[in-house]
Amino acid sequence: MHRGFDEKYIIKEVLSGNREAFVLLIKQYEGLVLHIVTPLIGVNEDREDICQDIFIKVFEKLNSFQFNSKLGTWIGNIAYNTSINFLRKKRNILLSSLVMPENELSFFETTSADFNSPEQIFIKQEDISQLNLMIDKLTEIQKATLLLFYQDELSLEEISKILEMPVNTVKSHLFRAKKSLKQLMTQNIKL
Amino acid sequence: MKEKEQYSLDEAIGKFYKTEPLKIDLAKTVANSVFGEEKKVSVFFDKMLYFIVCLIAVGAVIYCISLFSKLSISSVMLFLIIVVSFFGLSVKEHSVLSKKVLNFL
Repeated sequence: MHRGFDEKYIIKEVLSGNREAFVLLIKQYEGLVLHIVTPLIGVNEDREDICQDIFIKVFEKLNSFQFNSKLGTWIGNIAYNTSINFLRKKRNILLSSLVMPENELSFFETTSADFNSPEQIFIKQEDISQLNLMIDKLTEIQKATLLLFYQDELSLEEISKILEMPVNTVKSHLFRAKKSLKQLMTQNIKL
Repeated sequence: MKEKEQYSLDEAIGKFYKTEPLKIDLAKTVANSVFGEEKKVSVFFDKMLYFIVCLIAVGAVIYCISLFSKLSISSVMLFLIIVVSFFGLSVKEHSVLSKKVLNFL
C-alpha cells in the first residue's frame, strides 16, 4: 500500500464527489478485496460482480465510516460479508464448511504455541509454481487468511476483524495452512 | 554448478503467489456506475478552448491599456496591486493543493 495514502483526505474527497479519488481508493484496495473474494468465490464471473458490489457498498456506506479501524480493515470486512451473503443466497452452501469445527479451533486457546511452527521449509525457485498449485488446494478460509497475512501484511488482529473470528482462530487457520502446505510440498517435490 | 536460489515458505507465499486478476477494469467500471460515464473531451475541443481563452486574454489586455491611458496613475497602481494580490494568492493555493495531491498519490 502507498505510504502517503491519506485515508481521511481521500474519504473527504470521495464524499465530496471526487471521481478520481474514488478510482484511487478502489485501486488501493482492489488487491486486498481480491485476496478475500477469490478464495471464497473462485475465479469466475460472479467474482467480478461481487467485487463491483463491494465497492458500490463502500461508496454508499463511506459516510458512516467512524475511523474505529483502518479503512482497509473496514473494506475487507465488507468484502467478506458480501462474499458470505452471496454464497448463502446463490449457492445455498453450508457455511460451516468454510470454517473449522470448534474442537479443531481450540488448539491455540489452550496452548501458547506459535503459528509459525511447523518448522520452516525452504523452496527452490523451480518449485514456486508447485507451491502456487498447493496454495490453491487449501480450504477457502485458510487461503484467504494466508494471503491477508503474507501478501497484504495485515496483523492477526486486522484479519480477525475482517473475517469476524477470534485471533486464536486466525492463528489456527495460519498454522494449519502452513502445515498442509508443508505436507503437500514434501509429497510433491524434493525439498 | 551454482546452487539454485531458495526461499522460505513465508517469503515464497508473500512474494510469488499470484491471484488471478479480474478481466474488467474494476475502478473504472465501479466509478462509472456510481458517478455515470466519464465524458470524453476531444482534443479539438481542448484546443478550441485554449484558443478562445487566449483571444479573451489578449482582448482584455488591449481594453485595459486603453482604459489605463484615461485614468490617473494612482488608480492604475491600485488596480495593478489588486490584480497581483489576486494572482499571488491563487498561485499559493495551487501550490498547497499540488502538495496535497502529491502526498495523496
